Amino acid sequence: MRDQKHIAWLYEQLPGLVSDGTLTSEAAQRLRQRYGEAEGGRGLQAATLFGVLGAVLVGGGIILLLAHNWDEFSRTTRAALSFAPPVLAQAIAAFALWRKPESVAWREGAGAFLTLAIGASIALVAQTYNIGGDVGDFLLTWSLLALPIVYVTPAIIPALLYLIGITAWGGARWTSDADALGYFVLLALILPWWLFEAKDNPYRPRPLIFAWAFALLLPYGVTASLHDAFDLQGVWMLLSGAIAGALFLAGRRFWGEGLSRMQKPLQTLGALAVVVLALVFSFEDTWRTQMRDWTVDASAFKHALSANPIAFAIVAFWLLLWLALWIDSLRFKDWARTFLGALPIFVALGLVLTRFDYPLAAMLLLNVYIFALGVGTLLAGLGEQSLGRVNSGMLILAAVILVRFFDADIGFIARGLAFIALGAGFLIVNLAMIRRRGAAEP
Amino acid sequence: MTSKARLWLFAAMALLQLAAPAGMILSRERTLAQGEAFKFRTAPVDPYDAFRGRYVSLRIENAEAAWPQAKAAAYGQTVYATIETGDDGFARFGAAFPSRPKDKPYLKVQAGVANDKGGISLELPFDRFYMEEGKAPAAEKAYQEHNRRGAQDAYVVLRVLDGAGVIENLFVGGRPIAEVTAGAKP
Repeated sequence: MRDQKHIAWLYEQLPGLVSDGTLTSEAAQRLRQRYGEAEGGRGLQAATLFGVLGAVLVGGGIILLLAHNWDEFSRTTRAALSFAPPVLAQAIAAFALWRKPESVAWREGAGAFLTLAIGASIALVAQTYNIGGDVGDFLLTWSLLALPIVYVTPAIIPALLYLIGITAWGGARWTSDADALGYFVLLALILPWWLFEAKDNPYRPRPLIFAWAFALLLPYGVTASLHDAFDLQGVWMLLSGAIAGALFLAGRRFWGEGLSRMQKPLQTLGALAVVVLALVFSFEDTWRTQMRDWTVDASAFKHALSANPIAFAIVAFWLLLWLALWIDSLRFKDWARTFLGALPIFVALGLVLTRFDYPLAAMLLLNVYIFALGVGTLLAGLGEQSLGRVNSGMLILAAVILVRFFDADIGFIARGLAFIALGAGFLIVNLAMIRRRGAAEP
Repeated sequence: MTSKARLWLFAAMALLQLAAPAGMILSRERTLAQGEAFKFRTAPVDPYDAFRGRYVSLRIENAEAAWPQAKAAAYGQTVYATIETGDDGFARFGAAFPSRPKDKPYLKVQAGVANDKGGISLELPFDRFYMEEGKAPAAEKAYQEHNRRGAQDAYVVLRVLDGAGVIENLFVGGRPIAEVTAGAKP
């Protein structure tokens, strides 16, 4: 019988072995084919999953029981009872850390339970003393008290709960003022943990799972916290492009040797976001709306900038981060990577064109971009004999063709002629390729 | 991380996680024990909080104060509003100041927007009164019934000490809310 645990370990090590030259990537792929899929990584065995599930259910149950607000309990009883869940959970966590230091299941389960127990504790205090404030305030206190668990245990479930907690806090603050910018401070508080976990081997389950959750939740947090800056004249287009591009480029930079889809968290979600955004930007209406904003109030930008300089500093930070990663990508001479990461450049060009009253040109530019992206991915896939890449290229092309076919902003004649011209181009290229191949094979 | 460092970190974390609720409890207990009691008229309605359960949401009446300063109050700014008790036995706010007043009981609250009387509205932190599941709707119903009869006599008793206020109880029709809803089925 194969030992799944060791295979999972091997798969964590493969990217590192490829990057330091011990193995070629072909050899690593052959090893994967030889051993087949590992049934769950080391961090995700049945015992761990059930442990975490059990802890989360019990913790959630305690919160619900206390939320009943028992009339029978006096204020003193309630105050004393507030300490029961965290004390119990801390005892379990201490047991897990010192008596079962090798057990991932114990550590994750205890970490999850402690996180929920803190929530139960402060919820009970808030009930007892009728402490005001909305769910957002409650989530903030809870998240901050839970953060140390992430560093002390160290376990992935408390880290994920923290990430969800601060994102929900940012969302709850959606309607309020600039203090949602605190989302970025809260986010920064957990990054050292991630860096520390990823330092030796970013392909271990903990940093990898966190990377998936990070890339999935980041867009929500950003839109919630920067909504002031977002509403303004193309800022959202640049910012979302920069974040998608930065995620993709960072993924290629730090998880570049990933062998399976699971091992490529940021680049998978980043590339997906780039394609979706490019599709949105390929409508002329998206650009026209920006133009309307400009004509309505030209000084709005200056007002917003002086009203909320921190928000714009964060926007600038993301743009600079993306730019640094993009310039860094140039030295790898991997043009598909550089091109996919270049979306913000095309958005910036589009905004300049729109500013000078050419929204149609901006729309065409983005269409050329996404079309080139599709064709490039398709060709690269054919060259590498990679079915996944061929399919991705086909999907991108199918998507852009579909939205343009039904794009009511363009007249039927223009659409028809463009489709015929493009189709003819493909047929001619195809013909030329077949001829050349025929000449090469006598 | 060495085992000893982890032990210290764990101890610090455990202490922090217990100190937070303890601090919240102690400050409120002190206000309840030593604070002066005021009655504020209010209107209770029944919403829901996923984590903390049922409560009646309180709308304190006349949540506004005079603003005897030349410079307008910024929205969300911390202000200190003095409390006065009227001839009817109910409390209302006097004037709000940017710093703590010396000789009068006051509440630390956030400034709302300017009103048409030259004062400001106040954002009060007393927006909810928690009740056992099933009883909050009964409380709202009891209040609505009193309200229909023209007797808008719901009020909260607030204990106030050094600018901090803690709700002691909610009364409808002169009786504590727990008594009013005692027969209600959850």
